Amino acid sequence: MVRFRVIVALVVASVLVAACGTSPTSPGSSPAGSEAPQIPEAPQQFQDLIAATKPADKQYDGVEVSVVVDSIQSGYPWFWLAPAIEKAYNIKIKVIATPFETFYQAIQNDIVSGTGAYDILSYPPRFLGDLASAGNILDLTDYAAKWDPEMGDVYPVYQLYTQFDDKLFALPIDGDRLELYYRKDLFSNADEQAVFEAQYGYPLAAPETWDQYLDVAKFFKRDAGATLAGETLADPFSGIAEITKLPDNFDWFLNRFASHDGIYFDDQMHPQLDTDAGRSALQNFVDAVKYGPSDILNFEYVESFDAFVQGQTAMCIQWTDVAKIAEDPNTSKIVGKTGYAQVPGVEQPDGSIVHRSTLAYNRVNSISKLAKNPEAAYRVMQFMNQPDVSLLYVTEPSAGMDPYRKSHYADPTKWVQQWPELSAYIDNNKQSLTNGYPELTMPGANRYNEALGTHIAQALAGQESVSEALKNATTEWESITDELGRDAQITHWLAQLKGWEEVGLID
Amino acid sequence: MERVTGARTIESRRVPWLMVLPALLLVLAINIIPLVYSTVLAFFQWNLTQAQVAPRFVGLDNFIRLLTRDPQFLTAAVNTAILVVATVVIQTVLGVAVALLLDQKLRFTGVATTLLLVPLALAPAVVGLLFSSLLSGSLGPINYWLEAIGLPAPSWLGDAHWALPSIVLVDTWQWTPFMILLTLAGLRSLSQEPVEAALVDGASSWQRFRYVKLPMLLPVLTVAVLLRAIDSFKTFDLVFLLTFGGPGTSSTTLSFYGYKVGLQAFDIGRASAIAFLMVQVFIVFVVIFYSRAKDQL
Amino acid sequence: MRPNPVVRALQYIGLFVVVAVFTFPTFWMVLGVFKRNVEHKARPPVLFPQDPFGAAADTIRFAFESSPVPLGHVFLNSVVVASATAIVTLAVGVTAAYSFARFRTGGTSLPFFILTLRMAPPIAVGLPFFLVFRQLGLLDSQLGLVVAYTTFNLPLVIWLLRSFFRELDPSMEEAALVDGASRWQALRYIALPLALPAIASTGLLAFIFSWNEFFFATLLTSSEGRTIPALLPLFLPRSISAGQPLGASFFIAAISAVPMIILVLFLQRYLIKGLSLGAAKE
Repeated sequence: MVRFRVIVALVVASVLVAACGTSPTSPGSSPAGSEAPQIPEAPQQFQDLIAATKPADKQYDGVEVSVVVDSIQSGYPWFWLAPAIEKAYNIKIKVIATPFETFYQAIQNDIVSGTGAYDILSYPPRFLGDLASAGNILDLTDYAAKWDPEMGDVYPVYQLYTQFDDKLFALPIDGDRLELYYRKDLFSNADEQAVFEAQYGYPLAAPETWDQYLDVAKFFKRDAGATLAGETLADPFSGIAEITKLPDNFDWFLNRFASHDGIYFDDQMHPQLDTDAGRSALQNFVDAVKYGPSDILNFEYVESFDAFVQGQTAMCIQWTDVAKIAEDPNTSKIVGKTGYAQVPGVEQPDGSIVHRSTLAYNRVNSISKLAKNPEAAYRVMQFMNQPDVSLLYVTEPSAGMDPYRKSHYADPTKWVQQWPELSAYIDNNKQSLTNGYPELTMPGANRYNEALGTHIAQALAGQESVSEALKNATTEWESITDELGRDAQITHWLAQLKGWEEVGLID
Repeated sequence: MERVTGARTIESRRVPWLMVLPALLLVLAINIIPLVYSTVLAFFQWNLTQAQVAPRFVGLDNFIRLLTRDPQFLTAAVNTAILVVATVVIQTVLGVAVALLLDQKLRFTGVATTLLLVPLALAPAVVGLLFSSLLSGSLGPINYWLEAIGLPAPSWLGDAHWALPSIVLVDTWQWTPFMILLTLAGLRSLSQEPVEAALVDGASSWQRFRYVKLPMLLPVLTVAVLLRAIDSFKTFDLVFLLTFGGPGTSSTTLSFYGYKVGLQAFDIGRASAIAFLMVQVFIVFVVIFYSRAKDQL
Repeated sequence: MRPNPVVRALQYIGLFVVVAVFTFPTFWMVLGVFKRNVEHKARPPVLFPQDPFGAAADTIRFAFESSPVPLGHVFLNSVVVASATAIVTLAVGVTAAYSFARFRTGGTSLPFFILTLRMAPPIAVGLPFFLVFRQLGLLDSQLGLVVAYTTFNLPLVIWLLRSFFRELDPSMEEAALVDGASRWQALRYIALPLALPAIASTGLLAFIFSWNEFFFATLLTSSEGRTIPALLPLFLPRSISAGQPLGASFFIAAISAVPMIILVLFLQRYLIKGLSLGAAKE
């Protein structure tokens, strides 16, 4: 009897599976056009580079160098270029992808515990201060003197993200900014323009200020069955997509906070969050998410760009790589429809508008103090960082890396991915850089981020009011500072400010 | 059954303890000592990322901070309490109801009970992974079908009001079969005489359940409820995979908060204090469990 | 007494709904492996993929070859860790369970105390393990996970086998003792063969619980020692970026789940007995 039941159950299960596998044409199946393989493959240019790679001056006898990355996606540059590195140096690359949410924990665990499973750490600069000040990553100065990382070609702000205490602790691999993406086709639609202008009294365009951003977002928020640009919507349509969740919602607050002239701390490390700048910024964020998709409070990187490239939102504030995804017909339903603009800003008394684009999460590479062969690790990082090598992975759509060298923008015809609006995109990129606002890289940065990010998420979710959230974040920031030692933190903060001033990010 | 016979008294008194010894030593080494260590750590301030700073004895500071100055801890405690009560109540009611249905001598109940085992075979983490797409607005079929039949389709994981209920829902999906099958086993092992006597007396089916079957089932149900409560109290995997505690902190449970404090902020002392408080609640559960379950097990 | 046909019909509908609700997600999981990204995102939901085997082939190629994740190695780790835990807990647990059952060693409270350790909050054991393992070099190792999994499987194994040995008629063992066998021999040659099916089932339970464990796997491994659960967050739909197959999310769930589903179908009710710590009558 028991065996009979097992057999019946297995048969039922297999029939169900078989049934779904053998009905080639049935109602409800998907639209055509899914023939192309859906696996990211190294573009031809990578194969060419591998073929052209020659053995370097010094060989490393097949040692293995492991690289820890924050997702499968950001492992691709290493994974694809591993054959070139093996050819050049006889070094084997092992890529270890770990989950995004627990990435800081994974790196800290590995070092704190002495495990040493990760030789190269490929991480956002917000970890740099913690890692460098604790002596957990190696000073690269001597290696850099031997094998030039060509840092002069790297944008000054991204150079800053590789330094701690004026010493070189990392090499860049990624250059992030936040951009405003919008649907050109909808914004230029005559009907929509007319209705918008009638309602709001000014022409429909990519919003220049945060107030306009709310107007446009509200304007495009539509229910299923409503009309959008002359077509009836089968699904609800939304104004915006942004990242609202830890660990990155912090950066989406910063765009706003900085354009309101906010600054993290005063010179005694007292947080400047619960200020007019902080309240205006967070209030705008809270108001904006109402015009997002219904599950916007569950949006991190993938969900938020996906909502945009699936054609579900009119605007999206996102990292630099999303333009490439939006122009990739394998992943996007809005190819050719994306417009580029600066993230909105704040109008000044003289009528000019201050835009600030958060420069955050652009990964850098460091060598763990536990690395078994630091020199080999450096050679790998340096190989990846070369202008012609990095050009490949910062200009293709799958890996999520973005240009960080001036030379990356020098010749758009060399970009792996090509699309008609590429030069408009590059212009916007460069402007975002000049409007950039830096993320903290001092010790404790990740903890400050987490604390503020948690309260931002609570405010967005309606669990805390705007001022409660900022007050609570302030309290937590103070206690983090006390715990880390206020005097030491003041020193780090002043050094941080000085660096930002030197590269012209702040006055 | 355990009469002491003549043969036994001859035996060395050491044999029973020798047989238990390896297990006792192992339990001491890997269960007891870590628990004690964890308790000790709760009285220290120790941040692992600062290798240069040694652990410092701070008395009750960690506890005072948790209980008076840490709203996230209180949120997590409330969330955990809601989760325990909701999952246990819903799963018990549903479980008993379905078990009564399966006890109706219908055809196919054999296959049905076999298929009900499937959710229990899955790792909670796998269930979390699976439901993160099932409940998603863009990937999952659930909201599409809800809308198709005219029901509201909430943003399950993206709405602070729905995140915790979603975790209850998913936990209920996985563990109701346990309550069903356990109750069913209980029903089938009931002595039929009282039920038949009630039938002769003209009791309705509700009365037969309420006054005859339920009292007889109660001992085994109590054990099941306590086991589910203890498991639910520790919920971690589902939170990690479905919501990561959010939106905001709306679905953060104590286990998840302890994990965040201990392994994302590396505040070992405060995380140990959370663990210590959890163990105290757990001990209460265990005491109740012992008094209720010792005859059942 | 013949039941009302309307009631009967409603009961069958109820039965169907129950079965549908509790099997659909698992079915959806398997189905997901056979879909392409457009089909995952399509409205209405796709139940009959157009090119199921092509899609599955791509997904599997992605999971095993075209992505920087050593899935084969991780799968093997899961097998090794779960098997080793089952073997260790049985090896240590059988004699203890026998002793508790036959001699009431430590009364009822000692075995019950051990049982409660199964249910303790993992965070209370996990943090100390993390701290001690880093001194011992056990982080990111198979051995470390086996130790961690023994903490909650050993109490269960002891408890379940104890109740089994208690139900086993002691008269044959007593006869052997009278004939001059030692207690160890009675266990080895009489009780053990009789208990073999229960021991095997209990070992399988320990295997399943270890295979499915997530908290320690996340906490104590980072690279070489990772098991399948530790990889699951990497494959959340929210972590699968543009151009990567969403089917991979379902595939990793399926390779974790399907072997356990098959084991459970063979264990049948014993699973409920194990999960209820013996409260269920078989």
